[in-house]
Amino acid sequence: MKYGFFLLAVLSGWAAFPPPAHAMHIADGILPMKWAAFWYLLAIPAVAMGLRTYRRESERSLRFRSLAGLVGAAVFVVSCMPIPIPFTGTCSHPTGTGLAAILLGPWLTAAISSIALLLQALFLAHGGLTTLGGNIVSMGIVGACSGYGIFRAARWAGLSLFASAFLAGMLSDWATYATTSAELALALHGDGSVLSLFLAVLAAFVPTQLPLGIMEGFVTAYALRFLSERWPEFPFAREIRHERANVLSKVFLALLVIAGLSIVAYAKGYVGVDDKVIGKFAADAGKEPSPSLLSLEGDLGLFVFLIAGAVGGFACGYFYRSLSSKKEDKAGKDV
Amino acid sequence: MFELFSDIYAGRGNRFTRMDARAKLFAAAITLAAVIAAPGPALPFVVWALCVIALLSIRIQTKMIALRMAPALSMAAVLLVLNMFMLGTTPVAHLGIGVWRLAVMKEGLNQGIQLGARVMGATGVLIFLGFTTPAHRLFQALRWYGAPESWVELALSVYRQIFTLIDAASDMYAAQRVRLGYADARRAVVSAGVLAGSVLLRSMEQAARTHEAMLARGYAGNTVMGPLPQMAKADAAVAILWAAAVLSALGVVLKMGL
Repeated sequence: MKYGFFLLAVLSGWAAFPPPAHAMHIADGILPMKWAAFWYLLAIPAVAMGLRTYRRESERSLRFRSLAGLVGAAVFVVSCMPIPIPFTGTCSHPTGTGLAAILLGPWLTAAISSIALLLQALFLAHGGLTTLGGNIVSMGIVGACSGYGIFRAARWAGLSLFASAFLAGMLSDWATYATTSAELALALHGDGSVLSLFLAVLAAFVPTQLPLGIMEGFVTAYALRFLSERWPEFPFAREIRHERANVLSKVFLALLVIAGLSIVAYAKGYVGVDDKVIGKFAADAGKEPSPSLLSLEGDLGLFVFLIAGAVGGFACGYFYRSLSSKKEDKAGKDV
Repeated sequence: MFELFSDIYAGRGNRFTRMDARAKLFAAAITLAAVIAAPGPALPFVVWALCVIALLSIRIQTKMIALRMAPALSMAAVLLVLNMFMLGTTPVAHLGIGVWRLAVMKEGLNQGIQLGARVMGATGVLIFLGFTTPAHRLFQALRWYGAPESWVELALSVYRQIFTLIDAASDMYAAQRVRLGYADARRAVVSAGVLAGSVLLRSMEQAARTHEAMLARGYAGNTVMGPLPQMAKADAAVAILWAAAVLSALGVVLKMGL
């Protein structure tokens, strides 16, 4: 029973988001008054910072006004594009905020997201007015900041434009959904545990959003590569206020390290999925734990684990080429 | 997509579209607050029913109303399912899925129904506003209520260009489809990336052209929105009466716990 709801959450998530799935935004009326107000209060400073950037850059160049508006419109259109999700048989849409953050910076993306979300709420009933603050926080702030920070960090680490954009697109999408799940869990847990509801909501999003995140990563990467080939002089890494961006990426990296260390510290007391989940079901079914068919303990186990990872990584890397390279026939012609 | 998104219905002439946007925004804000403050499903259901009746009375198609409500209702359905199995301690029914037996809890079911009703009520208000108010009037009303000028200017700029880009994206998408650009998953991803890049590139080229055209027409950094007409007394009275009625109804349901 305890773990059944995870299965149920996955199934309900699978069944309840028909094509095209518009599961991104929290619908109007879901958040209680105090949480709606709280997320609004959190969103307003970020949007204000975005508007400050907009005004400052507009004073430097009037052209920036139309550029910001048009990139905002393009992001809106991109976020309405249906993308097929192969594993679920449904369609969904990218967030576009990772891409926008790379192009315009995270704060201006937050301001643009507030507009896109308001328009989507009013004319597509996608999101809502009372949940606008929560949706701005998840998509416009967390999605944009994580996408931008990851992109900057990946470029700083020497990754290619394609790989950096892929990571930014994928992780900003997942970060958006994780934040949406957290917002829902915080608001709706009632007398129950916030963590268990958070995990259940997250599990409900997984069937569509896990592959969608990967898809969004590829879409962001291909879009940015296309742009860099066609318009090489465009400032991808947001040259405006370059020094502040560096500070931001360092802060983001520090936060990532702290989050990672916190997870490691928390996970010390974690039993593991074998004992916690499979063992529980086995015990419920009256089955006794039995030893592994192939027992690899100690360093040997670690070594085999390493080899398995290396082989898997090689296979992924080898076949990854087929995603981007053109096939050629024997005469050397593109097929 | 175009028909679903655009505010073409708000361009029609009827009693609701003619009403002042500031009055509608005020009434909508009060109604939304009442819907999410209601302790039970009664008030949200009534609000939803009234919004749908109002929309049907101005000949908005049922299919269009259902389409706009669908995303919100799908999320409400997931939350209903999660709530009724996860929250509470009083089982009212049992459900078997494979080897799992899941108990439907009374408290969770009640909360799920309340949540669903709130979503329906609030989304009803939202689609009423969307079907009866053009975007530029809404942004003007928001400016009147104190939204920052730069935000309104950016919003109008974004809104103006969306339709051009939807048109361009639709044409490119159709061209990609007939060339089998979405025949399999790999091609679909590459095509979607190229489409996103093309839309962005086109938007930037369009930005340059628009900027030059605006400069030629004397653009100096301020978007002229035009003044809002003085609010009609009848509109203000309707909005105030509606708000009073909704708040009274909220008082009643709070007292009765409905």
